Amino acid sequence: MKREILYPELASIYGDAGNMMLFRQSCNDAVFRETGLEEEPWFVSEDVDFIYIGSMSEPKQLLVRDKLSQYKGRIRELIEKGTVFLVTGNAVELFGQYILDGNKKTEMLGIFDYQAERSFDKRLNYIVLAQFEEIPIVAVKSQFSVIKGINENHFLKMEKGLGDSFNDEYEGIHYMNFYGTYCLGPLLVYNPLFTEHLLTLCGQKGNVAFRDELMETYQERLEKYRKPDSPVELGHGFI
Amino acid sequence: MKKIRFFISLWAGKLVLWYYMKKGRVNDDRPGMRSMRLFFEFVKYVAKPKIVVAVTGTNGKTSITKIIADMFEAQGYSVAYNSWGANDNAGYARLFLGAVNIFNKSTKDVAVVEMDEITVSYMLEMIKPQYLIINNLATDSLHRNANPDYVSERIITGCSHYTETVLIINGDDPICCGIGENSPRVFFGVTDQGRLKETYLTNDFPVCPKCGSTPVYKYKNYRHFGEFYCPKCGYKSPERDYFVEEIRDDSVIISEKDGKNEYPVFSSALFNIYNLASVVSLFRTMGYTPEKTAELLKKAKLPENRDRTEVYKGIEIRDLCSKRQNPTAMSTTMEYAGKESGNKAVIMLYDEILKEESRIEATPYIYSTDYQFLADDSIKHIIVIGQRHKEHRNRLLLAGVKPEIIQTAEKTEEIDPLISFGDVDKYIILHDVMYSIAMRDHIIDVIKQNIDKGGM
Repeated sequence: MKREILYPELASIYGDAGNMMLFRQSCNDAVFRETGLEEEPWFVSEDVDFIYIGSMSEPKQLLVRDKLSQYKGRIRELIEKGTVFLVTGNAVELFGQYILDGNKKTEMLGIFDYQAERSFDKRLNYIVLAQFEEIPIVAVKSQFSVIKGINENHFLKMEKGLGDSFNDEYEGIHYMNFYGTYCLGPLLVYNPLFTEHLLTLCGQKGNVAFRDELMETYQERLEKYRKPDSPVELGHGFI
Repeated sequence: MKKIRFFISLWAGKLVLWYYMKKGRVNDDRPGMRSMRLFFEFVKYVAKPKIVVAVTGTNGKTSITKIIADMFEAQGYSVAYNSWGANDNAGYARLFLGAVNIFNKSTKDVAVVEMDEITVSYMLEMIKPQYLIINNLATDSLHRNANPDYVSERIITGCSHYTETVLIINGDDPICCGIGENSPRVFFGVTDQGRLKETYLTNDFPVCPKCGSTPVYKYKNYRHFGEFYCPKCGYKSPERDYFVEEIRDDSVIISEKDGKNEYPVFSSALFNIYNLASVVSLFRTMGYTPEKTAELLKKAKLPENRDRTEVYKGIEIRDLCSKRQNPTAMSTTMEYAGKESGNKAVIMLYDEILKEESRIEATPYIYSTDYQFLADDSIKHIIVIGQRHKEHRNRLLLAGVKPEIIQTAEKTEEIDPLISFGDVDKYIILHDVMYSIAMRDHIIDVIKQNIDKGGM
């Protein structure tokens, strides 16, 4: 079992590193490779069964786009073959058509038919309480952009918080085994049941690591987020 | 019209300030908030003292500001500065409200302004300081500061709008080095501390900002601070005008253009050596002699609540603060806790006591923080207290800390009697800079009581 983490030196900010900390510890028999920006991705020459890429700064997005743009065909092929992709935070913008920032349009990989609209004037900080199939999801978002144009293949059905854009019913994209979401940080740590879903997709047997402890905090967070008076928008420290 | 609006905002702010002072609420920004709400450009038009120094950067602002203010006060100057660290728009207005009379005449000799990094983009040209220290840039609160690339862009913007300020820049911080290319600049740095191999979860300088290649370090002191070059495009660390060549127990030797000089240190922690280097660079750039600078440094002290050590009946109790939600500051203290000699118990107090049950804090920052430094055999016990104790426990487990050495509790009274260990030489308390001070003081008392009881 081959699993690839793309560009962790620059695409694991905002606590996204927590995802692969947990995933690796839950996959003792898999081989993980961290691909640096100046290396050829493993997926180019190997049929990896899992690919992860997380949040990065906006200038770094352009570097990553330039690197991945030469492998667009291969990425499409792997998605259609059912390779599991987990894409979190603003990495999800890479797989869309473009980012619009005022009048400035920056082309992205164009794998899917959506786009980001960005403004550095305000950072959007929200919780997410949502449903993926039968699994309740709790997460946080912190971003300069909103996503427009995902009209099908939604990932999460929103209950509370910021969806793709303001007042959107859905969040993220789920096509074949590609999971793209603007939720950031330790999404897998927050959501052990979803992590187990991914592990199963990857052919991994057994439970997520530290299952009892993670389930305890997951249930507590769910309970808090479900309270009718629990705030939805995050302040600097609290919500 | 602007003049009328300005004076209305000045008098309204002064009135609120008078009321707050009368009520003893000295450390409160709300008078400044009043002025800013009436007239956003209040800070631009308010009279400034003859000397205005500003300090920005992710970490160290409050310490550096306090040291500088102490050094001016030691010369008999009247100094305006916010000792409580207020560093946003309301804080700036509050500072200058207290430094002018009702006719907008300056009543202070010096202003030392702690300047939030994000606000430099528009506030530098309003305040127009003669000097701006840029101490470092690193990952901070994601909700506000996003990432260092975003913050450095804001500072670059501010410095491009106003190019008269002399920038005193940490030349060991590659992110800061590109700031203010059209401004007069002075760089400081610290010599190789032999820590090149240390790795951190967050790498704030993974690629060359000019060409995207992987930078090479000649040496790295901590995190991304060190001497670097890009093998592809040649971008490199600047020559440092003030360079700490040697760190001794009580002093440092700084190499300058006209020789080497010795200055006293207020803390041997490496991040405080950088803070010291910034202050020395400022005073030497202002024309102070090395001797006078050293003399003034001896009269300065770090802010209370920071980096303290106490030995109680042979047991060391050390407390280290950092801004919660700031992964780099938290990681620095965790690195210290892990590497400090001896057998240790670590007590983590990062969570404030919240009154409102429904408040929820987002915790991604925990997963950008280097908890792995606490997975060290020299740490015999880790106690976590606070509302998010289970979250910290999960993170400790993911970092490889043995479950049997972790104890957690939401409230301190649940765990007080257990803070007593016979197998440690030191207690290290890691706490938030603001929200857990009372809890820290309580825990120090508890440790001492438990030592008195002979539990240790």
